[in-house]
Amino acid sequence: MAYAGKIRDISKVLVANRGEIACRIFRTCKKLGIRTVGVFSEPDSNSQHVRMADEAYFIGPAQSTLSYLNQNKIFEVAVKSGAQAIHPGYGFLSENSDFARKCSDNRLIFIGPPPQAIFDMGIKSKSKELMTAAGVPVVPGYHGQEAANDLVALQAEAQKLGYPLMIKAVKGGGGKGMRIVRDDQEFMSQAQSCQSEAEKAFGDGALLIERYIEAPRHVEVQVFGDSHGNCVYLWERDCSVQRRHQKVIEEAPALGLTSETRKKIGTAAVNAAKAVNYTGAGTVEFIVENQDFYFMEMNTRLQVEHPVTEAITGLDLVEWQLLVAMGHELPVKNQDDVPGPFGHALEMRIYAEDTAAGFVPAPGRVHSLRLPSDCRVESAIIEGDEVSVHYDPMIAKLVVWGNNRIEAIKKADGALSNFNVGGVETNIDFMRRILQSDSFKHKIVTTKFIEENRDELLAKTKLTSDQLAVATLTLSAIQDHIQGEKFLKRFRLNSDMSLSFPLKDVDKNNEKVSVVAKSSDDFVIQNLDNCRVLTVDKEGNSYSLQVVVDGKKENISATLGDNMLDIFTADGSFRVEVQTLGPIDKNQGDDAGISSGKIVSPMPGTLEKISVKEGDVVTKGQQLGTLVAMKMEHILKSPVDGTVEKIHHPLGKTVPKGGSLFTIK
Amino acid sequence: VSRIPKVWRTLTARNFHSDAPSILKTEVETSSSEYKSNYDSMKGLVHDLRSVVSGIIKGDEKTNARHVSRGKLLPRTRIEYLLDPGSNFLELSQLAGYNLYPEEVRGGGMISGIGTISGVDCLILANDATVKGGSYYPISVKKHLRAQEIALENRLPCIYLVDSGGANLPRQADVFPDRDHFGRIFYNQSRMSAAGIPQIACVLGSCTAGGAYVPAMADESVIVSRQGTIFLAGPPLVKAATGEEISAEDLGGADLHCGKSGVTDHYALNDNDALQICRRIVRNLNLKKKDLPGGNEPLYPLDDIYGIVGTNLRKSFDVREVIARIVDGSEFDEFKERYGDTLVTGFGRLYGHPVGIVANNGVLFSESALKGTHFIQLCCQRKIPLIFLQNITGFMVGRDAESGGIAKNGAKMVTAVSCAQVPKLTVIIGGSYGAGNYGMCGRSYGPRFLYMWPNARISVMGGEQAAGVLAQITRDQRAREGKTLSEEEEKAIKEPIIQRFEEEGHPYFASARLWDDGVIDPKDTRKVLGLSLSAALNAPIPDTHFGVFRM
Repeated sequence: MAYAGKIRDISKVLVANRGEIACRIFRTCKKLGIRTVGVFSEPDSNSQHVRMADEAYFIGPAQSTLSYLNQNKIFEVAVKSGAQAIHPGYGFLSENSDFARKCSDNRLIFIGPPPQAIFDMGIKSKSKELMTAAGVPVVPGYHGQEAANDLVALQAEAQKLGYPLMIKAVKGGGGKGMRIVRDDQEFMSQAQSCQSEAEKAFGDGALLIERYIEAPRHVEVQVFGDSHGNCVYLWERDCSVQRRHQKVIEEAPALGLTSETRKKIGTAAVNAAKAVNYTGAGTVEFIVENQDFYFMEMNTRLQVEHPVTEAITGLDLVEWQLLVAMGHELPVKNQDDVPGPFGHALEMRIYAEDTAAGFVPAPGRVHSLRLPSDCRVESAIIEGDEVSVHYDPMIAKLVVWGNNRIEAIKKADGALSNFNVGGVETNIDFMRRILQSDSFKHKIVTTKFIEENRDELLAKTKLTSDQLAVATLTLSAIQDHIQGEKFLKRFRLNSDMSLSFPLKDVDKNNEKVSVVAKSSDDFVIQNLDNCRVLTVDKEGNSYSLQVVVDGKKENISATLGDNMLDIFTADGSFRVEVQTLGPIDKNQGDDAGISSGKIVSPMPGTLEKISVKEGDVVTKGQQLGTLVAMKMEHILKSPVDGTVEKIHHPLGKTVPKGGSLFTIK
Repeated sequence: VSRIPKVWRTLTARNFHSDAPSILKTEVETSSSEYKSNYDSMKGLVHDLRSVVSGIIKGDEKTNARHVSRGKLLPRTRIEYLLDPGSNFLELSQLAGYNLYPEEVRGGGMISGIGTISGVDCLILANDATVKGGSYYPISVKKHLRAQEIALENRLPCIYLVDSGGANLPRQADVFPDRDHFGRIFYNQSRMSAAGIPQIACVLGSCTAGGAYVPAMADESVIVSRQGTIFLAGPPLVKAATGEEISAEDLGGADLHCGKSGVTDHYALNDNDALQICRRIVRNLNLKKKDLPGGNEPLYPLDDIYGIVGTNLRKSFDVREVIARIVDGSEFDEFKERYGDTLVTGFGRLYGHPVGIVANNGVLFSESALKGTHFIQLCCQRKIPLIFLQNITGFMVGRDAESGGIAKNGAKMVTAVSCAQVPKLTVIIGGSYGAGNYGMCGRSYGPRFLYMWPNARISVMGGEQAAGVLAQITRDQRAREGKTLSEEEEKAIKEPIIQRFEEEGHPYFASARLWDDGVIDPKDTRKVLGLSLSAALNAPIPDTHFGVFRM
């Protein structure tokens, strides 16, 4: 390291990132008296990280390549603001060795490992070679270059290794460019498709093969090195609960590891780090099966889930990063002095996503937000903020600590029940079902946990009469609240006010709710007697209510935004769409359901491909185009047989949710 | 205490007033057998009332289904969609037309009442096309005019939900020509518009001939496409007159009237759309309603009234027990408690608003009439609305009474009631007979609202008395002819009279003919009066000038 042994003070840090991680880093900077510089793209101009930074600079439009990945612009800001160091956070430029190198060229401290370490660990085949050399166990396989592009030779290597095995793109990641092969016969076809995908996605068709582990766990070790040659591990994290190869719940320490294994895996991680002269915070990922572990890769940055490690050690990892970047020694140099692991910690990533629809991102405006108390919440979203279509749809991270795992799980479930997000769909209930499931509580989970328990975790339930009653009471309470105190409500002469109105659940099932008002505030809903609202309080955009349904008293909170009513109860949350009675907008006659055959955007996104022309004859189910939203492709199909009458937007146009795309006649 | 300087002690004493209100005590024995039998009999009447009303509200299943199959909403649903969520709806003339014609004319073929739209109290008048096509019977005209009268007196914007075939032709003689017949509807509309009371029409069905003037004379109007039609003459009449063949839609549909003729202002796609446009119109009226502030509920259960009053009009009760179940917190500051005690007068509050109450507690004597007159004068001076609780057999008769000037003293009270400009609300809670009805603000004395309890009776005198009078006249006649009246003959004279009086004095009979604004459940009296008062306060209270009081 260039500055080894020399202390360089940092009094101003630029964080080349956004969202919760930028806020997280600012917080430690503030604690240490370091001034902070933020950068922001166009849609982020009002974001929390901009408000929190001492100073912030505009760096470009929404597209990351033109803003958060725009190195020149970031260096420009660094020079202008007089920052001495750049913290890249995670994602964006955090594992870009070029950027790290250019930082020193620009006389800026890159808060992270040396560029060479990033580079070495960035190429999978190379990192595995290095690890094998350093004596770190790796998954048996072929990582050579000779057969990497020669599928026939690769198949011969596969036969040597034995099945089942995994074909991976050398440059791959994020779940792309991976194939499982169970026997020799299917090898070639899988390898070919993997190769072409790798070429498309990474511009490099080189492949490697590895033994396929049937019941893998994802266990990673937090390591920390300094420029004085010290390196320690800060225990491990289990991140096996994943969906779409992305982590959902992370915990520390990992369940079921013997203290001997814990020591072995930690030492292996330190060896891995030392092999690349690692400094700063890093994570060495292992595949674990029983007490065996194999090196998978090293993440040369601060991880999203670093707070669980902080929770079981009591340390501030960002503080350590800054100290190391300034050239100090690690505060704890002896492995034996590393604190913890104390108790058990869990981190839940709260995403704006539609879990039932396959965990697709569901960006939108967070109409109301209520956070649980007594636990750590890392978030850059406040009530009224937008979960942007342009970036990761994470709303917050919730970190919970308990004396033991069962206690932590219970607390986490309780905290999630008080984490109320209104206006967008979230994975909160989904995570609560994970936490409540016996297999998560009592068994060691593998990375296949969600897939294997999909039915249980994603079970769809129709709204019960009780829920409809709660929804109805809540609506009436909110309406009454908006209208203010009235000396009398819902009086009908010699009869009871009675009406039935439609509520839609999230699956758009229409439920007809019948309500009879026995008096101002005593209802019969769906034949449930004795339904009433006892108290209503409003705070921000969310309401706290005490309601009675069929004699059962319940404390709930709720929020109404854009005709969607979100209700949060101790048993979970649910959401209903409220039909409004407003006049029909005559200018949007089509949207009022007068004509059919209109394809509207299922979510905000960019029209990436248009496969038809106006006047084309199409059949039902035929692809009309593709919409890309949040890195996901949505194929747009014709709902009917007919002719393309109108294509409403040109290629590349960003369309809002519900925006018209095609009209088929 | 002794160490506090004397001056300070006095000051302290002077600074604390006892604002403790006088609270009406109750002496009701809910466990007594009298209470129980009273309760059961009144409860029976209320139950009957609710089941009659339930029949009116439900309507006829077949006709309803036909109506809905045309994509229309039922009139009561229309009103629900029009009102603010949580709004009250004080329905008026609910029993109009009940057993009045050989055929059933539910609610007189329309629904009228007061509710809140976009925060504004409005008078809503909805034709019920499921009742004889919404055509106007004589009682329909009367109900329409009564609703308009209420709107005028209380300055309530009028919303007409039009869906009517016009005048009922076989009964045209009782619908068309007279002063208070069909034409008066449009006269009222223009007069109210002139007085600044908004007139809004929503054409949800046909609007033929005279009916066409409802939207045409409205300040603002809405029409539903392919459903509402407005024309002076329908297609059959046009064909007969000019030979022109034309569809109803082309002759007077929404496209024509919104686009070409300008008869209507807003184009709606369906019933609900039209109703929501109506709400928008009301929002733009620039009217704001001050709600009653609200007050504590009475201290005693409201349904105690059943057990206190019962259904036997001969049994007396202390009317203060009823007042205690109407006014806020059962608080009542009585006026002239020891004078003319057959009339109870005093101040209370209804949902926070001051009211003066005049209630019968026996037959009216000269003193009672003088006290009532005095109290009405007080309320008019102070602009305090008056509530009359009527349970009166009449003014005292006999030599003493006449020589004491009961006629002129009663006249004073009638003068005071007639001239009082404060809002007057009357509830007939028992008998309403003879001049007592006048002195206690009967229908002719212009109460803003008048309601009856189901146990109440109204007639010029009691049936027994009338039969007695008639039997006496016959007996006198016979005596002049030197004949006598046998007991059977007397019975034959009396019984039909008693029966007839019983029938015609019944609240349903009265309400069917709109002698009142509705029959109400006694335990709802507080609520109904509250809503009526709230509606009445939309109009400013003018000064009162009394006529000559004969001294």
